[in-house]
Amino acid sequence: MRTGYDQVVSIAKKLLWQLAKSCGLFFGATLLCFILIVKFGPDLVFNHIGRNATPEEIESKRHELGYDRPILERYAKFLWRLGRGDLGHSDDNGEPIAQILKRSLPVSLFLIVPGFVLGNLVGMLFAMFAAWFHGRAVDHGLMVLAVLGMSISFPVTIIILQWLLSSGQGLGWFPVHGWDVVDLSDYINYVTVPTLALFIASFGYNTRFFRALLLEELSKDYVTTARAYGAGAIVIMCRHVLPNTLIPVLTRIVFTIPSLVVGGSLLMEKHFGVPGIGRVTYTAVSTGDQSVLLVVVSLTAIVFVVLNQSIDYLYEKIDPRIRSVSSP
Amino acid sequence: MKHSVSQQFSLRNRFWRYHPLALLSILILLVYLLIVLAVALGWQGEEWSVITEDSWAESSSIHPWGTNMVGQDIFARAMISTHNSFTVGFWVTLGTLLLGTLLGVFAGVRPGSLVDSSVMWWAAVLDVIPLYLLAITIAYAFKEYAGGLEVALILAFWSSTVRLVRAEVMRLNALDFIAAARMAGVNEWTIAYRHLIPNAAPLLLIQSAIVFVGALKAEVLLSFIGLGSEIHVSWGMMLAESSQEVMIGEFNNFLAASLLLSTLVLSLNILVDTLQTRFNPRNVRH
Repeated sequence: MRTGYDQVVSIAKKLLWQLAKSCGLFFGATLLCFILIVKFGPDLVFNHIGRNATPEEIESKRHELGYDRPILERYAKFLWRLGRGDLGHSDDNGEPIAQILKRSLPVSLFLIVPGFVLGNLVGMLFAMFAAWFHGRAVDHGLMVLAVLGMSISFPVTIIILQWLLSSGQGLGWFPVHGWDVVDLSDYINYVTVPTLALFIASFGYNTRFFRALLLEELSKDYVTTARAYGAGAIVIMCRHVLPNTLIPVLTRIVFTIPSLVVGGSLLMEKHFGVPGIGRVTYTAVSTGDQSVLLVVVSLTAIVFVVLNQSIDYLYEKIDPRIRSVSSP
Repeated sequence: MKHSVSQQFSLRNRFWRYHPLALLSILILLVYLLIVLAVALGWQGEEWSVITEDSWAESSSIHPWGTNMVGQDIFARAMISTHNSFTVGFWVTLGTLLLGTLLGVFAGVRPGSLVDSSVMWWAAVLDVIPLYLLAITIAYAFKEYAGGLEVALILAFWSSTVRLVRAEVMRLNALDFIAAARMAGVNEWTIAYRHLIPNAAPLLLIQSAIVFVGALKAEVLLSFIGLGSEIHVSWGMMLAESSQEVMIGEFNNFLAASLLLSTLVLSLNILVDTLQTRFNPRNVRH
């Protein structure tokens, strides 16, 4: 028989084990990137002292910047600073990195979120229609659309939309690029084309993924029973099937967030000239700004690991079966 | 009725009659391979960097698809870009498949072992870094080296292949014929080489097409924003040039790059879908 004490110990053990796993992932990912960026990346000493330095000057600068220390010691120092919340300064213009992030992260979210939400919602809607009318014309039509959406490259979509909606040749309704947002009408003005681009780039993948999930769920016995009782399509889909597919759906949504915020914004912000985190990352890579790149990579790793762990926690909240298995 | 592998793929097989689109995709793929061959042998695309006075020329006998802003021949650039994209795709697919299969088999035959847990740990670590962030980090680190892009993409695509192979090997490993081979004293290497890998072959074929498409798209994306390879011209670079040209009504460059890219990706996607249907045991047609 289990006592309360045993339960507390087993829960604590589980939490500790999860924490250890997360830390392992975080240290692994950041160490890998640290070595890549610092050890293999371009030497930055000349950025600080110019081309015509004497060997002594170079040596003293290297010493001052800590470049002559072993790589692991520098990594530990970097983590120590990060842990205290000190993100450091940009190598390029000396601006505090915390300030850069504070300025650029909201912009990226405003740029990405509408297209992301639209891509998922419409993907889900299409998937529901396709799965319900499995094997019929609606299904085939939507699947053709999805494959087409998957096959058009993101840059191609962006160029077509820009030509169609922003150029003098097309409708010319929206600005070609830039981000000068003061009020809502500005926002809609600048965000529409990127939103449509992101939607077109993502709905195909989402539709197919969600459709496969829904089909699997629709083939189960409880759906047949519900149908036999005369439940309609909307009731079966929204009351029964959707809640049961929530876990894989949420997993997919959560895990596409970090890659979208950094990856998707990288392309769109560079192309549309939006001053978000992707633009910051791009500039850091092209000017050789180690400090900024390291912080972006590390923070992304932290966000990803935290999401990873919180989704486990979320599962237990959503699905009573998981709770009954994992907790004694 | 059982079919041998060669029968499964032979053109007389009924399968292709049910999937005319897949057959068409294979023919399209062959055309692309011919282009790659022609470029590799130096028959096409030699003059891709020659700058002429003639900017944005219309299609003519000298410039079949016209010229771009600085008067370079779009046809030659499109051909050499096809070759370059295939080269990146080929090396990334080869590297990913080799690494993924090798480590996946090692991990899968002894689930829970030290090898398995360390391989899976590395896969998890690499999954923590989003693809494009990893790609540009590696591109940044190996700026001065050739092949940095390929290495980045292999590292990014490797983990999904390992997971796939590992799961398949674990599934096969539990089947009776493997147990029988083991009882008969066949050594582990021979089992992996003779039984596990051949049985995972259809899966690997599909995975290699998926990795190839992923590599093509990633290469286009990175070179579109100017973080791709700096020495070569590619579809992504052509698209980057054309994003300016399209705004003033010059479409040749854009059409060449986007149609070549989209047709290839569409054909490969259709092929992957068809093969997945074909090799899904739930859909076997007797």
